[in-house]
Amino acid sequence: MTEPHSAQPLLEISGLKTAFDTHDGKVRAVDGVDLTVHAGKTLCVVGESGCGKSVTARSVLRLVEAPGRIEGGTVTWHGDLLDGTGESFDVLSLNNDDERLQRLRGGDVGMIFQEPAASLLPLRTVGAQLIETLRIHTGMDKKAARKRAIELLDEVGIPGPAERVDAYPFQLSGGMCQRVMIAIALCAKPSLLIADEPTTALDVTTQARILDLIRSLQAEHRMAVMFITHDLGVVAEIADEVAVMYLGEVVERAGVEEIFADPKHPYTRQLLRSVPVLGRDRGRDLPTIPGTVPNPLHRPKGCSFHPRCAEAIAGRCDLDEPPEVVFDGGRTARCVLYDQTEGDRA
Amino acid sequence: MVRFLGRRAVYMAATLLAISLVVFVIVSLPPGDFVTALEARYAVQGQRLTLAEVADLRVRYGLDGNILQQYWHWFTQIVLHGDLGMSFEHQKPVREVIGSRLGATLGISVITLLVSWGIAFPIGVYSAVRQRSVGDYAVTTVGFLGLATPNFLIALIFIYFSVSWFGSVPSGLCSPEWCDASWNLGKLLDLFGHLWIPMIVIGTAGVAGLVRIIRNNLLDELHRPYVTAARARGVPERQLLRRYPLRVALNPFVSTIGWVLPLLLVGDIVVGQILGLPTLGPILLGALKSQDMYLAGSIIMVLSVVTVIGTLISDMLLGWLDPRIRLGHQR
Amino acid sequence: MTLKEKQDRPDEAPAETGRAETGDGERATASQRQLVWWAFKKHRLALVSAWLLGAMLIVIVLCEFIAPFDDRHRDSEYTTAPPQVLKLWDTDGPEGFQWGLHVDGYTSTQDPRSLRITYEPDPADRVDIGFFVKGEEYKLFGLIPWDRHLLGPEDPDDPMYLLGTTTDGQDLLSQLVYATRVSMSVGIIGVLLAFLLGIVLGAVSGYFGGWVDNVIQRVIELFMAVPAIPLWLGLAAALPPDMGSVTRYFIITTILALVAWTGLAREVRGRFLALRSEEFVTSALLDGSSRGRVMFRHMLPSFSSHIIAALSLSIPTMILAETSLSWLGLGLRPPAISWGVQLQDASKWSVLSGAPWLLIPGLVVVIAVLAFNFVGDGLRDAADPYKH
Repeated sequence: MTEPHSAQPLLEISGLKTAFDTHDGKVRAVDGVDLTVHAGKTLCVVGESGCGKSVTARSVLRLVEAPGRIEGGTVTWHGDLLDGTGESFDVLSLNNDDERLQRLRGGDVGMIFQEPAASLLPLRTVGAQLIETLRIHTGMDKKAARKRAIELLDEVGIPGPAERVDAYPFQLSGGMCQRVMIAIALCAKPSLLIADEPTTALDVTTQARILDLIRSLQAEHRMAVMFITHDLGVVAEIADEVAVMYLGEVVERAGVEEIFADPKHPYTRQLLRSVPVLGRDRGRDLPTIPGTVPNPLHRPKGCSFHPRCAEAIAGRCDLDEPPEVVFDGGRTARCVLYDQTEGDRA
Repeated sequence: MVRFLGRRAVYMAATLLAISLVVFVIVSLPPGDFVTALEARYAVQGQRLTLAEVADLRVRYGLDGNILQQYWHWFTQIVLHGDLGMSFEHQKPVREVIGSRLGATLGISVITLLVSWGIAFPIGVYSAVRQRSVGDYAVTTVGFLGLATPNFLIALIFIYFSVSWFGSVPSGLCSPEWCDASWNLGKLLDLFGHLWIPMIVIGTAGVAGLVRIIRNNLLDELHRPYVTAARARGVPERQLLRRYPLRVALNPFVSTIGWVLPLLLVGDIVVGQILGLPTLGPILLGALKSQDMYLAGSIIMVLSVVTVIGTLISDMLLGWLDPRIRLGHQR
Repeated sequence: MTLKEKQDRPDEAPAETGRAETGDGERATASQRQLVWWAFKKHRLALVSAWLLGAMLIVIVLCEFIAPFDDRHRDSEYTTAPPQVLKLWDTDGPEGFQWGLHVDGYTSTQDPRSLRITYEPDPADRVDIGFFVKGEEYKLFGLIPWDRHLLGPEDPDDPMYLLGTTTDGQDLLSQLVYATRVSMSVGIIGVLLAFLLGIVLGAVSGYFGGWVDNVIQRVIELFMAVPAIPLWLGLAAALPPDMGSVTRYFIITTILALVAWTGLAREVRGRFLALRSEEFVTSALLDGSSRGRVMFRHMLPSFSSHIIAALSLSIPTMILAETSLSWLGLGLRPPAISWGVQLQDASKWSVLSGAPWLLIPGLVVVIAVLAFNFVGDGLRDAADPYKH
């Protein structure tokens, strides 16, 4: 997983803004997000419910539906440059009928979702939906596509793939459906897999199996993974890099070891503290982050985390937007604590 | 599937039996029976039936026993002999009265139905896909008005404008000079010249309802996760709409067959009445008004049978279209 | 529909964005009823419709006072006369410009060949109009004898037909006021009857489940299998023609209710089934509340808004059914008067072409049906105040 050239950026999200028009006003679900996914690496995007991580993931393939709207920023795809087939381009500036957008969706970028069973049409067999995708992206004929579909189902660990190919989604368990979704996502050998909380709706053992599957397929296909989750355990297990989101902004970006060993942003610290550790937390209450995520309609002035932050500085955090501070090694945090006095406090 | 069908068939038989009871009650509710009505009619013409004749008639129509025996007689006559009784108003067997109008009724109904589906379908899909566009607002507003207006009022308004613009109301299905002619191009053209009127009047109400159903069904489906997922794997938009949400949205349509079929048979009663169409609707209405209960009861019975059969057909179609039903999976 | 979607759709945003409903202290502590009311107020069309229905209710209650004439009033001097325009001042009277509420009287001309008489407003013939004028006597609320009418001609013998007259020379406006009482009450009473039947069976079915549910469901399906329209027609036609107006009114209402109750019963059952597994029901049962108490004190109130919405959406169907039935001559019959009975007058195209005002009751039908629909839609969306 750590080949030297694989640290090249594959996907660069910059200044992404996505908003939803509701009858109570405009909700800025994603408000200026910068993220980079490196080829062959795993980026985990973590945060509480409502922080905009799912919307960020959907914005990459322009899957945000009305009343949502991508309002600004760029999503640059470097995949074509890396494999020498073309130039880098901004996904957001493509026309709706641009062939590159069609190829990106399901071709270069596979995507899996939180509710695997609901993500498959109940009226068609899983095979039909897999074959359809295969034919769109590989141009295979029906027979070859069916053969390949069975192989793919086998590859993602579905027992009896030759029979299961004709099963309907409701005849399979949630875990099996997610395996089918993974097979569909991988059918065109993408260089990036976007996984939007793929294990949240599954039970714990199934979760672990799906994670294992994603990891082994990632190694095999040498693809990058953008993994959206709220589960820090999952992050520790699979991430190379981590981005922590709060209320539509990325508050901290760092390598996975750095995040767990030395969290910079107060939000990250409190998030880590609220995870139980075997042995340590026996018999005592887990610390929780006080308050709840504010309504994005009434975003707090200044740093949006300051009302819940234990280290907030009155007169500063509640007035000014915190700057993004870049540390040695490229990790960043969006907090006044590190302003100009880089690294001193840590 | 076989077990499913078997259960449906048994259930269907029970339903029909119950319906026949209700219809029989309707038939026998008005005071007097067929023979007293006949006696009254003869009395008007200055004739009299002898007591023996009356008794004979009563035996023939099964009116001599108690109410249960009467029901049994009526029921078995229908089931075993296809004998629906006599219409005293038309002085003909009910079967003949119904038979003479069935062709025109079905013809008009099927054409109207196809045309209104043909119009409603694209409008409904457009309205859902372009939700909250100017077109969508126009469609929903017109649809709302269409549904709030009783059919006969639409017909009356149509008549009013027709009279003020053309000076007359086209009625029936053919002009007098063509009615008795044998079929040729002229008659066919004349028929089409008349057919568009009931189509507009019946269609207006029908289309409004259909558009609303299609639009709501499709809106329910358009934002499901499977649509996003299919888009995410690069299924082109048109194919996506056709193969995914539209497919699901159409299923409830199939379940309307149960009530569409009887409508096809009877035609629109109100519009048939106003425009003087040779359909079954006006016959039913006339029979009800003059309490020609054998005729009315028989038509209602036939309609009920058709409804039940229609429901069965739509259940089967749904099972065929929707694997969740076919494979006995709870929705 | 348009309205409904506006309210409905924000929750399409991926669940993450829509959920936050904190911070607004007032909202957090408001009662359910208050939340529903706030949500309902956002539907402008529903609110306007609610006011309109309120106005119609006043018409129903004060019908004798509001109608300028009695429902039996007939003026054979003016048959099929066109509507008059209510005027505030007069310019071509004997004294030139002159203030005063009035309408123009009629002049009649007879076609020499068809012998048909047509009426036209005649500006020279001034009919003064006043508020609270003396007119025909009536009993307000069926109790208090009175003879004042909201609006009427100063001289009771003068013609004042603001919406024109019928072919019988009856005042269309007065008839309309009386018809509103009958048609609206058929709808409301019919729905209440259907609702009573539906809620008892639906609640029993949904709460007990099992074989009880099974039996009731089969009965409902049986009712649904009978084609509704011919069934109404058949039942209505089987009524003896010489039946009294009041009896007929109640029987027609009952027939409509019998046909409509199945939908409501299903709705209630569905809600009960969904609620039965909710935690507050379990906890109420564990607290030792009796089943009946749980059903009517805990479960029913928790979806009363839904039920009111369903009721409000059923009334239009009922009104349309009564109107069609009466228009066909199978529902209410003269001397009883409803919107459908009124529209019978407009059925002949030879009459209608010269007297389009006979369609005015149809306009009222459409408005009433729309109003109930909008209120129902508004309520249905407001019924889930926690949804967005």
